[in-house]
Amino acid sequence: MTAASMAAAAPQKNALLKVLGPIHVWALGVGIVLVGEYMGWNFSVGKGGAYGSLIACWIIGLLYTCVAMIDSEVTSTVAAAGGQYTQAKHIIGPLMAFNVGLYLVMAYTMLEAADALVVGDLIKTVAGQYGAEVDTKPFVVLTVAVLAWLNYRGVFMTLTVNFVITAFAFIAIVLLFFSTTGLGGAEPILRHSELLTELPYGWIGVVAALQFGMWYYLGIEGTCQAAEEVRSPGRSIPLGTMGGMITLLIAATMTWYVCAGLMPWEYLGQAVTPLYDAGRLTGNLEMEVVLFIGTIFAAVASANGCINDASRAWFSMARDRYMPQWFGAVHPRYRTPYRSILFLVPIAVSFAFTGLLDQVVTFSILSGLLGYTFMSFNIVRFRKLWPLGSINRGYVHPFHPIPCILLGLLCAATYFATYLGYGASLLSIMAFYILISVWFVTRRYKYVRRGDQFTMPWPRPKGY
Amino acid sequence: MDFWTALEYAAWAVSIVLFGWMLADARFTSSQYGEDFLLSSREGEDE
Amino acid sequence: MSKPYQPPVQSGAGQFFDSLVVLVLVYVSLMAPLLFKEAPAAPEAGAEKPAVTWESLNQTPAMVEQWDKLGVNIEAAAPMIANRFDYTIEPVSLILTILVIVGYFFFVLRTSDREFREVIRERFGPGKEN
Repeated sequence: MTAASMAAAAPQKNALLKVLGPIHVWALGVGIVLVGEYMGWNFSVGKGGAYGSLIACWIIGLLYTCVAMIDSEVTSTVAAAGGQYTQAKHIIGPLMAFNVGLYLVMAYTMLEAADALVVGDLIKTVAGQYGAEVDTKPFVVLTVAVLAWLNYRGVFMTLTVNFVITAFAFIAIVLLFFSTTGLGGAEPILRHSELLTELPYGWIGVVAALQFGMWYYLGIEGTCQAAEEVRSPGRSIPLGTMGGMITLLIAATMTWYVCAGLMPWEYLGQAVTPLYDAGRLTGNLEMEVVLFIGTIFAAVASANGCINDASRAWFSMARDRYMPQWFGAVHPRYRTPYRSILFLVPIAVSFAFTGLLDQVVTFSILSGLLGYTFMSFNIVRFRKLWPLGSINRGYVHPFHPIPCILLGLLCAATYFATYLGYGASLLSIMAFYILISVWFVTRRYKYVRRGDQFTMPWPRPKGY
Repeated sequence: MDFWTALEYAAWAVSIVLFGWMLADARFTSSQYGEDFLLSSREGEDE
Repeated sequence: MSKPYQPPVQSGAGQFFDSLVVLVLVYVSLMAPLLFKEAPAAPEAGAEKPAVTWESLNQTPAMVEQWDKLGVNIEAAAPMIANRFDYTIEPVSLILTILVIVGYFFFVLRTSDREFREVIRERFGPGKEN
């Protein structure tokens, strides 16, 4: 079939397929995030000590519960591949949407870079135990290459694979918990009373720890990105997202408990693979292998979800011409945003190559944080412009406006937490978003069809 | 060549093959289908 | 119904150039600070180097046991233990940071609202303008 005859054939559209259910939404959300228990959360121990990290874990858990509630309402009503980007277009406006789209792209691409970095590092650590010195780069590139290829080839397969490996990674944490606490019959080896110290920086350290407390949960809002491909978003999105939050709260608490009971906080605060280290410390080879596989699986599941989400955000922006239109192509056979997938690969790989896990994680966290800040005022406008009853909402979250107020306050606290110790990174990422916003206004927006940005079957917003 | 060095080379090789495949397929797709068709999906549309 | 805005069509070269601009912005604003980050101040390499012991690092015997099991010797552990964050709040940098974040959102929301009105006007027709 030649190109000419394809174009002349029935005017079929070339769109993403609707094949996903709640379990896939759960797998996408938890799959992206669970790696945060395997690496990165422990930098919060470095910022505030072990207890500081635990307090941060719960406070940020509250932040994310608000995010999950608010996000489920808006996403189940705005079921599009662009997720929060599409929401912003309809509720606040183009420039905000452009920024939100980028928050998604950067948060997920940096998380993907962190995942690949950890895979490389873990292989290097294991090789080191055999006395060999390996370069991390080929393994970083391999991780990204395999996952990009999987994503290029199609979404259903990648999310089903995600479910299996995410489940394994979660079970590995549970097994480690049972093994080290002695609940599983083995000798308990946790030494909390001997290892836990006073807050090393005092209470300001607890505040500072909020920055990396985000890492336990960052990405759960990624369930949105699947929205255009979900069979019944009104049901699947809230179910999958809330279910994901509960899974993560359990995993985070268990992870903290085990690691804080096995490692001095100064070590834990800078470790690259804390759960694998915990596995090594059990002295049990099976446990070590389980945690090795768990770490690889968690990182791979996460990177997989990230490529999925980042590429769809980029694709959605290109479809609207916020970004060069060329990236808005859907592969005719695989039905994936293949050009977007490919474009983002070099960014992920180059940041992974820096080896600076805490910095890469911070960029991801800050982009996420900006996105949650957006969510806090977005929901207020959403309810104002389209009051309850004026449109069909898939899910209505309870207790409004308490969640969004709480979310706004917790976000402010987390910006301050990042200022403490990572102030330069905070300023450089703000510089990025400011510069690129100026570029959008002066250079990109002229290519955008104004009215076409509004695709939802909604009535005119109240007050406009 | 020891095991780990071989593993490194294998990783590079597989990566190059996969990226090469994707780039070739992307080029091929562009040549086989019109840009208008490739760029024809619309947001929020039902299948 | 107001006449819909007709955007210009962008050439392939223009799209390519814009893609490069994005990449440049990502690398300059995000990568550059990482690459030019000052290395943490090297400890004075002098004759007077007090012998570092686990006690001097405030590590209890239990902690020392775990360091050993992790395979981290005292030379590697010392910088991990000694490197501390500096949480002094400099009023100038804090205020600057707050202004940047608040200013950014203010700019984005204001501009977005202007653009949003245009979108609604084109999509739904001219209505009661605020």
